[in-house]
Amino acid sequence: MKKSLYITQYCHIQNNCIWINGEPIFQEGDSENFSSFIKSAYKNLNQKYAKFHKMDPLCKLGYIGSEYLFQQINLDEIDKRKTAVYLSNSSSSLDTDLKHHNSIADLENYFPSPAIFVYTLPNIVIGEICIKNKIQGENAFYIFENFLAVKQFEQLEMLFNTTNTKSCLGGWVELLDETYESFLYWIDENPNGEAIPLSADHLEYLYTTKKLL
Amino acid sequence: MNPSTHMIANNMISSLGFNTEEHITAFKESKSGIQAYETLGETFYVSAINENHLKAEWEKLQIKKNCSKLEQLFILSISKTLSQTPISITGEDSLIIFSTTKGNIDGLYKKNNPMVLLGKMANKIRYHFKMVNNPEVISTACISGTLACVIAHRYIQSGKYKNVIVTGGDILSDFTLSGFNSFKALSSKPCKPFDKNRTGVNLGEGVGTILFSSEKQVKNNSITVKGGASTNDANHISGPSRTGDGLFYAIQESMDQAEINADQIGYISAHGTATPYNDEMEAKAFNWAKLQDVPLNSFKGYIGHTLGGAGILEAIAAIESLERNELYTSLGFEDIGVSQPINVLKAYQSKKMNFVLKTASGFGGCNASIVFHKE
Amino acid sequence: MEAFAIKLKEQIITHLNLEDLEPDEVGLDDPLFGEGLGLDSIDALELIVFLEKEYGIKIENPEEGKQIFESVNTIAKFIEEHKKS
Repeated sequence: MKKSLYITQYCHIQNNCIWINGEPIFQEGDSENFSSFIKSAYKNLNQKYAKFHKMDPLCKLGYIGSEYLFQQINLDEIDKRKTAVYLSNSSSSLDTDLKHHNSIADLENYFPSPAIFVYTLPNIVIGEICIKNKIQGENAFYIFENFLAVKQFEQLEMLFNTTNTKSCLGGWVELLDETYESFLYWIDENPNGEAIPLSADHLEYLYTTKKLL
Repeated sequence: MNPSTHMIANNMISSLGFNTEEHITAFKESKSGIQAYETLGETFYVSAINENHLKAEWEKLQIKKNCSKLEQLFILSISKTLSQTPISITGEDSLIIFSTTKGNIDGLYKKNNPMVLLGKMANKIRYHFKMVNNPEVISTACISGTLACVIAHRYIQSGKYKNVIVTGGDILSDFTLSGFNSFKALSSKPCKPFDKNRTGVNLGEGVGTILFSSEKQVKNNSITVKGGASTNDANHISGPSRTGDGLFYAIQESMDQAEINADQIGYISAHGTATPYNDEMEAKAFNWAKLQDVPLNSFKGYIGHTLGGAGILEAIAAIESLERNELYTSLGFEDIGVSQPINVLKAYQSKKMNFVLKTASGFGGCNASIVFHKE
Repeated sequence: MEAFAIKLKEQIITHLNLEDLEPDEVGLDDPLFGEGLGLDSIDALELIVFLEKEYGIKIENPEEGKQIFESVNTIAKFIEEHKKS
């Protein structure tokens, strides 16, 4: 029998604004660009996490989304070896790929940087989230042409029904140049928090409208 | 009763040839495809596909579409796999999963080239094969290929799809060579996985394809997937775990799913990149899992590290080892160079086996592991 | 020498994206790795790129870096000794 699964918390980041469960909780309307917005969002968390400043923009977006989301969840109560991180997007790490490419395209000015190159893989954002929160379960980064709620649902259903996974951070983290959007959610077998039954329709609705009702 | 995941057909393309048989012959003869290669004003040791050979193979298909090198390799590898079976993958019951780290990365030299987007590349190939379902692209560093096989297994096991074709690959590029070089991770000689004189990776290019199905086609489809898992070290984005914990958890979980003990594993196809830290981490994880006596090899000495291709090409090599009861030399290995005892294959040998293990680890702290079984 | 070391310190903080640090928090003899500033293996490799890009000095063997990158002062000394005049 298939397990019942729930979206218990979710977080959107878009247009210089962060929403938790559909409610705006951080806004920085006058940020000139993504970099200054995400830095303000980081400062607003009141953490001192030196690794944040070294991350590329995609990782910063995913990291900040997960940190705001995790404020709603007691991570000490979960089994971190049975917690999965399943993320997807459409541009992979292209934003940073272009930076690395530009550092090597001209042999007269050839300075490939290991601190940039390491971010030319989209799953590094999963690594950053796992390192910060000591999460050690299943992890996968998928690429699709567009946000496909049906595929995300299919993957989550399979993950919970064929592995030992008990909870999962899932979602869409997309960034290219100044265009970005993040929609992260927490999936649990128990109907905690918002307790929205996991379905493709619900994912699609939350992704587009940010709130169920 | 869950459906079983049968390996139906496969194909390997690399410097060693355009089909699996050519690879097996090379493995038996300990023949490496790694050669010196000049670019970026330096000499690298790499495993590169012969351009003339690729041109000839591609022309045989008589495809009019304009395709990049990697797209040609994917189409060739999938076509060669499907030609071995009557199974049709065009229906609702079939899925394609791609595994790649960088896709058409050579396309970055053309401004605003949409084909550098992995989803677009995957769809182009999916439409070529007239498949109805949306393709999945797994881009999870060096575990992508192994993970694609694990996920194919889960889809079949859960009854979601009947046929899953997994295809994985990457091409050699200045992009990855310069990046790995800035990490001081490249060997200036043919690589030596697990050896005490190992100094790093050789990059390679290649594509591997496996068709898995819940339906056993013919009597000699005797290989099935029995379990698989992925984990994260949660330690560092580029350095492997100091203890091997993440890889150990992945191995343990796949053996649990397969309901077997360490002593039932006949052989391990390791990741073995030949960097000092990776190989050391693997040795620790294998010991932790009590697999220290199981014969193991790394195929990196033959075809280098093919990134998105590695997990599938090496899974095929492991499947063929299992099917043929043959173990191939871990090329480049002479003297043990890790702190824990492991049983690295110094010579070709035959061995009757029922279960083999394939593992992979990568940047981002990810690990994956899969168990294959022979009925 | 000290003026150079102070300038170097600021350059390193910028190059390695150590934004949370004020230059005054970093002593010229403080250890950069491990218990000190907590730099990691990527930072070590990035310092190699930095020396080549800013000062034209190449370090071929990353093992050499360990001694050179002990502190801001040891890096300053290394640059003084190897700078192309």
